[in-house]
Amino acid sequence: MIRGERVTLRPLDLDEDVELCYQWINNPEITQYLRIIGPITRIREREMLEGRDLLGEGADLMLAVDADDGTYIGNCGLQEIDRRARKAELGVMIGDQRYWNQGYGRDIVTTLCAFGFTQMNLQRIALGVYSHNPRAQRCYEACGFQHEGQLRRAVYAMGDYRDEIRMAILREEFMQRYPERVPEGMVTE
Amino acid sequence: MIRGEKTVLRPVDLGDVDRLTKWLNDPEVTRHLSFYLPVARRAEEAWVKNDQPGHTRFAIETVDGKHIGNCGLHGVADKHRCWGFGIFIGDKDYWDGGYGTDAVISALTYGFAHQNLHRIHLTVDADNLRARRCYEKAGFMQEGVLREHHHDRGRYLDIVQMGVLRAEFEEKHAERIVS
Repeated sequence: MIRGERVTLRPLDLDEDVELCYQWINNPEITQYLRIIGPITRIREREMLEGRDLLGEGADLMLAVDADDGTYIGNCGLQEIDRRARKAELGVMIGDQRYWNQGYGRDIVTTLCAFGFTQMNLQRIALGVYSHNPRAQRCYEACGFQHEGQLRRAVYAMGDYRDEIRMAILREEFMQRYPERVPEGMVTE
Repeated sequence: MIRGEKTVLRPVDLGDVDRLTKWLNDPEVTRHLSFYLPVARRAEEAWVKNDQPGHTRFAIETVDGKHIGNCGLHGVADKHRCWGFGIFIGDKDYWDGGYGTDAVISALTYGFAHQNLHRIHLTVDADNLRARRCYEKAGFMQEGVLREHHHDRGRYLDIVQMGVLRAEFEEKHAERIVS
């Protein structure tokens, strides 16, 4: 378990969590902001999640998010983990729309970054966010992510081409912004 | 079963999975272990089922039969007769009570008297003084320091390498080696 201020990040429970994942991955209101869209069958969704609950060195970090009231509200993780360059790609999805606009995203992103920098010893965490998702952009900005570029018309969603905005935060930037989230004596490099 | 004075080593069992999952998701328990990622119950279940040569795993019980931790010897039967060792006490009520030391001595007894090993070795975080004292009491000697060998929570840590030879253990804990 990785505890944030309001959320708990934990391994997926295949039996318990697949049904909600299936609902979310087939909901265009959610997937308009993701790389993948439905239709995806329950069986296929389970196949895609199979094994991702088993975390290990060399595997993607895929975690389920529980809100402070215990509700399973979404998934998050670090992918494309590059141990030589010490970097990873961050992804977040709050599938339960009742939990949008309440600051959960910020806590998830900050908690995940703290884990990536302090426990996984990363030095850079990057992400892509779509131009039609200003809410997520604001969230990442609030967490200290900087704009690095705009991939013009890189995705197609909701009837149009959209840009992918590339953002990233570096280890020392995170440490400076969230000293309370990193251990004392943590090395900056 | 390997009986010590305070603890008994027994094979791991599927009934241990819930406890193992709880312990290995507790940062206080994993502080000095190689585990730092959250662990799914399914992963622990797979670990218990994956009983392969090269990993001799024991559950540690008190003499009253309460499961408090795990330990294991890692190595294959080859000409070197030298295996690695690891242990954790997951039930924090049993920290600082001599249970770990007793279990280490039992595991060494098993390695030398049952597996006919010549040497057993381990690595321990340099700042884990409790564990280092425990290993010394059990018979391990410090053999070297691997400077800033591991990364943990934002900083690099020295790692102490320790080892014990069969003759040393037999001298120190003659009473535990059954002839």
